Amino acid sequence: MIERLRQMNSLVKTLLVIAGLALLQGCDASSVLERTDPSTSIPQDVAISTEDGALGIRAQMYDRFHDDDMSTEWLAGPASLSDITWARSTNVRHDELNLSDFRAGVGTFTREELFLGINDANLLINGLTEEAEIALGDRADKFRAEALFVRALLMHHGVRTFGNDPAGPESSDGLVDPDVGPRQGFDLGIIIRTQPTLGTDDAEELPRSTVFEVYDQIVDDLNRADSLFQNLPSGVRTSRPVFGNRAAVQGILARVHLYQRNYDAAESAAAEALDIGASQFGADLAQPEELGDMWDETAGLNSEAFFVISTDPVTETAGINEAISTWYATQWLAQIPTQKQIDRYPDGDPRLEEWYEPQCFDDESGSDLSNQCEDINEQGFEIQKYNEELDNFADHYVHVRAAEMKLIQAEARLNGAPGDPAEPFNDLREARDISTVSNVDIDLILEERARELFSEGHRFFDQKRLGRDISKPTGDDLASEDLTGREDLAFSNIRVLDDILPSEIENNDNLRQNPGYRQ
Amino acid sequence: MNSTATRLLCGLAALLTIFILAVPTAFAQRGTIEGTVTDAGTGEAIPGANVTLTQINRGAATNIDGEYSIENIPVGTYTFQVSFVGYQRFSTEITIEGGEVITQDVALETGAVGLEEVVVTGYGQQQEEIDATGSVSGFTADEIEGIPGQNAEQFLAARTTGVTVTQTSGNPGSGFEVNIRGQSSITGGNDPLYIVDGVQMSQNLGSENTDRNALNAIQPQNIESIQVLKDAAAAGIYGAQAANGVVIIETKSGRAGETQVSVNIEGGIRSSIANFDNLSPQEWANFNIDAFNELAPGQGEAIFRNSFLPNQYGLEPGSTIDDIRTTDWRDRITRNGSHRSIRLSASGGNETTQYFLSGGWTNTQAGVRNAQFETFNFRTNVTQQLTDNFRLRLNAAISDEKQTNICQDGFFINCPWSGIQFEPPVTRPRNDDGTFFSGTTFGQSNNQEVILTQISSPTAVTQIVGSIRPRLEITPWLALNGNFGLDYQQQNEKDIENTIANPGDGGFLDTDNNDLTNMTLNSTLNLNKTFGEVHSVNALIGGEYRREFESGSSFGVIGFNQDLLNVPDAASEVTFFNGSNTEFRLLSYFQNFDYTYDNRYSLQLSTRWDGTSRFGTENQFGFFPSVSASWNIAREEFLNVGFIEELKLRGNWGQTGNSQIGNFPARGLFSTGGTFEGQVGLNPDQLANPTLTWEQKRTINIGLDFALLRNRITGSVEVFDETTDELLLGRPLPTSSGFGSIDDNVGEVENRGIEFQVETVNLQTEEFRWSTRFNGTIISNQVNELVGDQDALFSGATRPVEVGRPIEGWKVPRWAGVNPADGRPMWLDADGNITYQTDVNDRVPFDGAERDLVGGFGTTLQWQGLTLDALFQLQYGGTTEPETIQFFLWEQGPFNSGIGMLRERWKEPGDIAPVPRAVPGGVFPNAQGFGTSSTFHLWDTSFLRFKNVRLGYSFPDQVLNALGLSDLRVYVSGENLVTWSSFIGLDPGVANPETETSFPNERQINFGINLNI
Repeated sequence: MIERLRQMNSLVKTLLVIAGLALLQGCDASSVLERTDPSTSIPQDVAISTEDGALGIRAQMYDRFHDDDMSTEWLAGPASLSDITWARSTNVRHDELNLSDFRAGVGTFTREELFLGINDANLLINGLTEEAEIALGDRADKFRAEALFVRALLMHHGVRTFGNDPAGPESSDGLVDPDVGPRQGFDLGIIIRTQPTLGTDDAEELPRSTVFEVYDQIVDDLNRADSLFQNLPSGVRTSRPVFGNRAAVQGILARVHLYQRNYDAAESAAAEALDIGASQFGADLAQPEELGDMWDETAGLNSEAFFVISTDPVTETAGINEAISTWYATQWLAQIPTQKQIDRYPDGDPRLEEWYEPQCFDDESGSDLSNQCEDINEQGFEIQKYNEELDNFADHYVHVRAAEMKLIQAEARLNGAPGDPAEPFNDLREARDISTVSNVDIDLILEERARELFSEGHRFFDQKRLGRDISKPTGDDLASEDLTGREDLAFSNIRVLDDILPSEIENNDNLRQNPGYRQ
Repeated sequence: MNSTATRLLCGLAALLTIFILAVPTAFAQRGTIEGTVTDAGTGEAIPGANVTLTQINRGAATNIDGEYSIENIPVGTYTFQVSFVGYQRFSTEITIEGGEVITQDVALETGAVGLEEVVVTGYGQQQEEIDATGSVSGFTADEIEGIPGQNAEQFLAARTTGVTVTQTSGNPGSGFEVNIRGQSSITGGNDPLYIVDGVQMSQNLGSENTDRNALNAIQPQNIESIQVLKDAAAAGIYGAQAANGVVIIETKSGRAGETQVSVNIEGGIRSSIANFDNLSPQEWANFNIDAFNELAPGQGEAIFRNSFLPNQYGLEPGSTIDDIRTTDWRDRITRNGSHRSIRLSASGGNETTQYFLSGGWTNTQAGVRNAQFETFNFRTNVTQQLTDNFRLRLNAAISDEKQTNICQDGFFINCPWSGIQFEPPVTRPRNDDGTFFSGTTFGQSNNQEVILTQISSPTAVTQIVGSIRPRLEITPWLALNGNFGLDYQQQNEKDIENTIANPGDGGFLDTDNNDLTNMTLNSTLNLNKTFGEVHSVNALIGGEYRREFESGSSFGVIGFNQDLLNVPDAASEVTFFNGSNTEFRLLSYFQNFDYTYDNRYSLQLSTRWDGTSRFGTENQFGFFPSVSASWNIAREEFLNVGFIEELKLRGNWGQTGNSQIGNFPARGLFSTGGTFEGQVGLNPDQLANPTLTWEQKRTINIGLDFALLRNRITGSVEVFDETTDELLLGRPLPTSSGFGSIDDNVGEVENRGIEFQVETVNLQTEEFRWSTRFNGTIISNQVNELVGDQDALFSGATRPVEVGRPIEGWKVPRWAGVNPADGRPMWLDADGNITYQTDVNDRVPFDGAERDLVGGFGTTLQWQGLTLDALFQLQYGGTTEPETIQFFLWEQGPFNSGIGMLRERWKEPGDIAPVPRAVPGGVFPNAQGFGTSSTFHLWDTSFLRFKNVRLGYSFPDQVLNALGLSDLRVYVSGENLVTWSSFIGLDPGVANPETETSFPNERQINFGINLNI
């Protein structure tokens, strides 16, 4: 009996095995295989045809600015390239920019991110399906306007990094270029790409457009964005300057016109930006007692900002190794303000007190580094614009704000735009609690820009767009006699334009290298 | 030993005692076997023949009259084997009854020994080696028993031809890079497929803290056999997963008979073999003074004493090096390590049920402080004969392992092995009052003493590997086999930094949890029949489904602000969190057909269709055929030559695939990127390629197996040519498209090589046997084609992938030495002229980082109960650019311990020196930095290593009888005893192409005892 049961038992099992085998052989193979899906990705067709997909693409477009290449490189790089900061002795971060090493520039790492962001923008501008547009309703135009703004901002940073600047109609070749050397007359800007890449056919090997074509595209994008924003129903307009908006559009337009030496347009765009910024966000020049809070994220967004990349410390940090806060203040103290930069501030300038700290201390590891910082400036100041008040090395990144508008107005008026250049210039100086001036010249403006806008992505480009040699700290510009600094970089030097990586040129037969670098 | 380990050890010892007491039957009944061994042809006695009962490892040698006797054998059924050089091995089943003396006389036939082994060729097919057509290397339990080692892969190193084993780290419990016959893929994986008891093991569970070995769950002593399937004929049945070879591991099964209990206790010491030569404190001071003299001639010493030491290290101004307490940092991170293990196994059963049970504990404390590996392993293998024709096998292993890691691989300041190279001798671990010194190069939190005492990063893995394998014998020659296997891995990793190590965050904790479920289901119908005595047929058809699902999550918290509790509950702020899962599936059908005529001619055909979720919808299924043949020439009449026992020629062609390329490479995807204002970003990061499919490898293999001079010399030679095309490479797209590249099937790589192995029995008498073995593999590797007309990938790199060159070929400027006049570094430009500033066009190709020759040689001496086995490992022709060496020879300044080679720097005009003069920060005013990649920085990693040695003694029967044991052996073994190499870095054995101070190997000496009851 037991034996029989055992046999039956095994018979059942045998049948199960055979059934399993048969089932396996009979399965619809492809459906078994297709039932797998990645958990952190969605298919392209879903992304471009749904509301959630569009929201995700938009978030991604803004998130690009959280990347260290788009924050630390963009904002701190131009300060390292000029005379604002210098590397502390045991840290090498950005010292290649301090020294203007061959092929070192702020575009090396940023270039790829710029085009990633432009592709995101192109998806929102003309890559979404009708289905997605319908689902978005009025927000479709809002997102398109934001994307046009972002595309313009990215393209402008690209063209000022890789190309000679436009010089307006007065110049014979229309360029701010040296009188000698291979950069003379070189008019190429960057590749203009206005269509999203949805398949390999879209990934064409495009050539670089001229600086003038790129600027035309940028101005056109900004004007389109402006009219789209103007026509938006008030219900969908943004109330916080963390997304593209009209004030930001006019602010960047003012900056772009300034680079183009289109001074009247620069003046009026700056004025427009200030008006809209004040009415839409209450953004206005901060008063002396507000200067500390301007860069303190726990006190809210920067009160002067028209466009700021807000950064969530939990998910959006650039990380301990690359965040601008660790480079300047909390850990690496890699780039320290030069004695020359500290000397720029007159006695009692509250900016020196609020935006710097004579405390060279590595908060992460608990090391006192004041000895080394005191080699760069006598009191061992560190820069405090970015110092992770929200923790986790995260800071908001301001891309355009009221003070810059005042300085653009002053410079535009100095160059013929209607109005007294001293008026906006003194508005800012009054807000900074320092003496006003009766006559303004370009050197005063440049110094004020260095005092006010340092480490916000300007100093190197300001000198470049004016055709000046790039100032470097030398001799007394640094506190220690042991440090030799570096001679100024002549404007005619090829290194004033960043090079394009050889690997990229290899992948695009139509891409031309910048002059003086090997193709 | 810490208290937890003590308690665990005690617990285990108690369990062991209970276990032994609970099996009193083991002592009950014993029997004896005896007999005479003679030559079947002449009838003469054969003295010195080996007689063994394989399951219990008992044996004897025949005396001068050919007689043997094994007493005190526990009741049971055993495989009884007799072997002697020049004769075919005799094997039979013998059942020992209690109190009985069995007489078993054996007449040995002359002929080959080596080729009559049985080989496993996949999916349960067994074949006599004499008929095998493919290339297979293997080990049996007997051989494994004699090899010291704690990992299955270790057996393969220097013992198997065609297999390059690189230990990725000397950290106990960490992984291996196993490469069978060279690197055939540029971007895909090069790992072989491991199959344990029919379960295809996953190696995809990544670790943040360590490089874990996926075979840690398999205790080496439980392995019955390892087979390495190398060519398409052997591995082809595994189709799309076979291109990198297949390693098949079977664990031991129980045998009917009395319960056999076996105990192994082992203990030993361990120490680092790192080659670390740095400057003495005085030499370091002189080196820096020379550099400061460069800055201000004649002022060097003053700057060093009055400015450098006080400013950098907070030392008293004016100090000389003699005034300062100095530190030997190597001593601070190393210690005398140890190794302890206990293993217990029991096997037995009756006619219907057989079992093999095993449990073990291993604890290895590395020769570097704070690095420890501990594992518990349990295994149950049961075979149940349910009916006469239906059998079920259950194999299950559970393991729990814990690694307390230190940062081990990488050029990071928090990894002790590179961290100490940043530390000059004038810094110290602690202040006089016992607090941590904060003046170390990268501050207190990166003081190595803080890293080793205030940071912990444990990895804990629980793994279950099990399979149920039913077998129904429909007829004696036709069987249905099933295999339902699971490999489950659960891993928890932490990185804990307390408030001392991380004052900025008030302490910090990262936690990663990952689990992986990997299932293999297959069924086969196997046919095995011989017709008319000479036509032997072996065939199978089958189907298989594999699914691997992995999910993981991690988070970080900070703000503990105390060091009493370090769980998330005690933290005040979350810094990050993330989680995701991934999956792939594989569905396959396969068949194999072997035909052998008269043990002389064999032909094999196998095919497999594989479909995987990893590939494009238009190319989801692939077809993998192979064909092979062999000819036993020695069995032909015309080759009736006395000195040739065996001569077999094999040849095959086949196609296999490599699908180790990630799970969703063919799809057009938008992936979660960052976030902005509470919205997760969708990043267009992959363009669709619906035609994407696997890398295809075509192999041609020709081999010759031989046994000569009455089997005194046995071995084989093989040549192979393997071409892998349809390589999965990223076809670059212009950056302005927003995409870097798209995965495509383009490009071709070819590996050609020769493998050989020879084993000789040099001396064999009744009491003494001496044998030697040697194996080697010479491989050359070449890229034949890349994307379209492209002739290089990563063309600006020092190791570009270029057509016509090896995958890992170097391309760097040529070093021209140090200018004897002024001590500047010099290079040659493209035209061969001296230059002080090189650029990308000055690079010249140099031989690759791959090892050109790998192999090993060993010898075994046996005299009565004593066995001595020694193995040497040889790797030749690899080069590496060690990033740390390059950096520390160049970046001179405060954060540098000074590599010993800096002693030979240029000092005055006329010096012919290998290293340039000392300059502050390594910056020459009129020359590029010395650290620029050049031929100077390519170091040969060739080495010869006395890999291991083992001296064992088996106590004679008289002793065993007196003790009531069936076997008692003691041994001492050593690993990594001596290394001969010109390599400048820590250890050539762990050197990768761009080695970054990997955790060096360690020397280990063990004492052990094996006891069978």
